[in-house]
This record gives sequence, structure tokens and C-alpha cells, in this order.
Amino acid sequence: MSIPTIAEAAALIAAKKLSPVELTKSCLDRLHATEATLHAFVLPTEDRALADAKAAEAAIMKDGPRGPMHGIPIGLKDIVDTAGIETTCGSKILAGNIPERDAACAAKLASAGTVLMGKLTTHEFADGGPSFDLPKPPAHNPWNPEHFTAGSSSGTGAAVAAGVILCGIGTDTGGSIRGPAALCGISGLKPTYGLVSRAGVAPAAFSLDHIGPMAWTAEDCAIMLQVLAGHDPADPASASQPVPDYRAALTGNLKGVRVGVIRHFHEEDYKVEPAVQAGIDNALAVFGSLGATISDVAVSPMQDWHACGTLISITERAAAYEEWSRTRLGDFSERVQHRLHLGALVSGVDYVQAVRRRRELRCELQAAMRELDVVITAGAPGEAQRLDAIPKLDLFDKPNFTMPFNVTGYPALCVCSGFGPAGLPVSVQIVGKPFQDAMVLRVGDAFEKASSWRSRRPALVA
Amino acid sequence: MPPTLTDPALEYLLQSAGLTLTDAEKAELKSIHDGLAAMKARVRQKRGRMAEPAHTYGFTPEDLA
Repeated sequence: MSIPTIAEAAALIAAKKLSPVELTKSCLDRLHATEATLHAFVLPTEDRALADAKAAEAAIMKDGPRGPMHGIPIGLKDIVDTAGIETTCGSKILAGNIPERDAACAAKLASAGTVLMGKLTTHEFADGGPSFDLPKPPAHNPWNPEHFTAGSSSGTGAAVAAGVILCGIGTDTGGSIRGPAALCGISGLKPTYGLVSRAGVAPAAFSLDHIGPMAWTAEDCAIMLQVLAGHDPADPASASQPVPDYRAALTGNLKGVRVGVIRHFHEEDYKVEPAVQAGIDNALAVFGSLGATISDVAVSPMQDWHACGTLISITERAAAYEEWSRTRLGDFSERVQHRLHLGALVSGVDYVQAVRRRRELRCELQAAMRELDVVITAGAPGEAQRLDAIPKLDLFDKPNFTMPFNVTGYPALCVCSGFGPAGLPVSVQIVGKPFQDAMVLRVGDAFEKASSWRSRRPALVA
Repeated sequence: MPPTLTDPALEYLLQSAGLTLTDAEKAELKSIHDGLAAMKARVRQKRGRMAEPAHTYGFTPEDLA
């Protein structure tokens, strides 16, 4: 069976032309064929998947599908609590940890009738980078397994690109949804801060953490977001905002949409590789052909956003994991130990100055977008690096393209915008105003449908 | 120029944080001190004492119910 999108599979399931059991078995076949190479799963849950699929099939035959996610194979990043299923956060420290309850996002996906394929590989506690001193190896990129997936939602990126799951949960503190989406050639949405509940998901940095969908297309992200979005009193940052019909917003055209380009981010502050630049130029041409207006916009240098987000992240993470830092430091991977050490060097005053800077930067983006619907820049500076070339001390060398929108909390989507000379994907990042996630998805979806990049899968599974 | 991170200062900070590091790890931390100091400089702007931080506490609908 070829790999369907969620939208395609849902239509076939609703028409009783595709059985959830058949779909799940085809995903399990791909899991068996690729897992030894990709290491996308910390814990596959094959029995649970087949049971979920059979239950979905029986319910659909009786009453029809509950919605478009009914019978769809998914995965959950292993920092998401799952009742009765080991949740280790990729760490020795939580070996054997079996939560009593599902995280809010896991519960919502289960209620929608999804099929749980397993727990997906993550950087340890969603931090640090690819580590080889953990219980499980890091995920490998399906486009070339010698290369990095980015992280920390590394397993989700790899498994979606390889068609082992049709979508999965990622989390994003500085780019951990959008980075793997960019380097694995899929779509990944960091929703507006507060739109998706973080209850039951291990924290990385409280005020920067987001939960969001990762899937093959922006349309599939919209379908998944429909299930995930909504107020949850169990998450102190959860917003009480109406949830629109995200899929209905995907009109396929961009008539009247005002697109700004933060050109200095990717052309001056951190000059991207030519393939990334070509992808952005091509995306702008497509946006224009679909009716959008394009203009340039400038904000503070990307280094300012990166510094602000990094100082907040270092400090909040050190606070969250202080007890284990003091008592079990040696049980963390070398990379995470290093990140935790940094907390000792940032004072309380440094942190508050960063949070004050955060407000200024957010006001700056708000003003820059007053006459715009979205802004765009790169999702990553180039194609994926080799796994063995990822430096341990990389926080201070170069800024990243995703952190600015963790600092502001604005919704941001990475979609594939082409391929580089090594045959690996490159991406463009589309950023909207708070709670305008539907607009971001509309632009991403229109671009994907007007370009040909969604027709190519990694050779490993093509 | 950022202030130098002296060995006694580093020892004090690590002790305050409850961290016990090897000499190699301490050297590694010192090696990135300038990068961290540059970030700290970037978040300090001329803003005056009235400038509020982001995400100041607000009451939620649950508080008001």
C-alpha cells in the first residue's frame, strides 16, 4: 500500500474502502522494515496498535467514523505521558516510569479514535542533541540515515517522513517541532502558545514549551490540531480562546493574504545555504501566483531573539531539573549535563532582563505584522548535517531560525520547500499572529498543493 | 570585554547550584563563558525601571469563576 495522508486515509475509511486494520498493518510493515535503520521509536506498541485498529474498525462499521482521525496510526514523543505505557523521556532517570494517566494531548488523540503505534525517540528530556550515551540511539534521517533528523522531536520527524505513522506529537521549546519537520521534509506546526494543553508532558522550559502536530502535509496538521486545540484548566498557560475549523480555512488560494519576509534573518544575520534561499524565493513566487502580496519587513537581529530565548530556556530548564541535577547529575547524558551546568552561570537578574527583553521583542513583531497576515523566513539554515558532525557546544555559535517564535509564542509552521544538492529536504517557515494558526496552515497548505514537493518520499520507503 | 570568570567565582556558582563538576567540565564551562556573557549583554537594553517583563501574571477564567 502506498502511504496515504490523513486526509486521503480518512476519506477512504469513511467510504469503507480502507480498513483501519489494513492501514495499521501496512504501517507496521514499514516499521519492521525501517526501525533498525531509523531508530524512530523508543517503544513500539504493536499489540496496542492492532487492538486500537480493530476497535476503530468495529466502531466505524457500526456507527461510521467519529472524525477524520478515527483509525489513523499515530505516535507520541516519549515525553508525553501514556497511561500504563513506559514513558522515559529518553532518559535513564525515568527507566521503568509508567504513568497512571494519559497526558491531555494523548487523551484527546485516543478519544478521536487514533491507533497508537508507539512512543517516539526524543532527545533526553527534549534537550541537548543526539546522544549516544542513552538507553536508545538517536533517530536517523530517512532521507539519508547517516544524517541528523534535528530534534528534539527526532523520532516523530523520522517516523512521519518514512510513513510509519501518518502523524505524531512533537514538542517545541526552541524549534523541536519545526527543526525535525525542516530536516525530515514534513510539515510541523508550533501552535500559538497556550492553544494546546501541555498537561502531562515533561517540561523543557515552561514559558517556551509548545505541543503540536507533525504530519506529511499542512492539511494533516490542521486535521490533527482540530483534535488537540482547546482550553485545559490543568495547564496554567492554557488560553481560553474559541477553536475555529482549521481545515475549512484551507482555501487553496492566497487572495488578499499579506506576506512579509524577514529577509535579514536568512540573508544577513545567518546566511542560509543556496538551496534554502532558492526554496524561499520559489515559495514567494508561488505565494504571489496564488494572490498574495509580498513585502519585506525588518526586526531586531536574529542574535537578539536567540540570546533572549536561550537565557530563558537555560534558566527554566535548570529550575525544572534542579533536584535531579543535584542528586543524579551523572545519570543524564553528557549533552544534557552540559546544558544543566549552564544554569549555574545565569543569575536571577539575567533571567528577568531576558524576560523584559522578551516583551520588547514581542511588541516589535506585533508592530511589524500590523499590516501583514504572515511573515516568512527559513526553517533551518541548510540540509541536515551528518549525525557524527553535531557539536556538543552549539548554543553560542549560531542563532536558530525557530527560537524567535518561541520567544513571542506566535504560531509557526515549517513546510518542505525543496531539496538540496545532497538530496535532503530544505524548508520555509511561515509565522502568523497569535491564535491565527488557521492562516498559517492556509498559507502552508496552498503552497504544498501548488508545488510538487509532497510527491517525493525517502528512497527507503518509496 | 565581559568580566573574567575566575576559578573561585566558578566554584562559588557551582556550589550555589549544588553541582559537582570535574575539572574538564569546569574548563568547558569557562570556555563558553564569553558566549554566555554576550547573550546577557544583548538582553540588557536602555529601558528604564518601569519596563515590565513578558508574561506577567494574569487571572484566568478559573480564578474568577
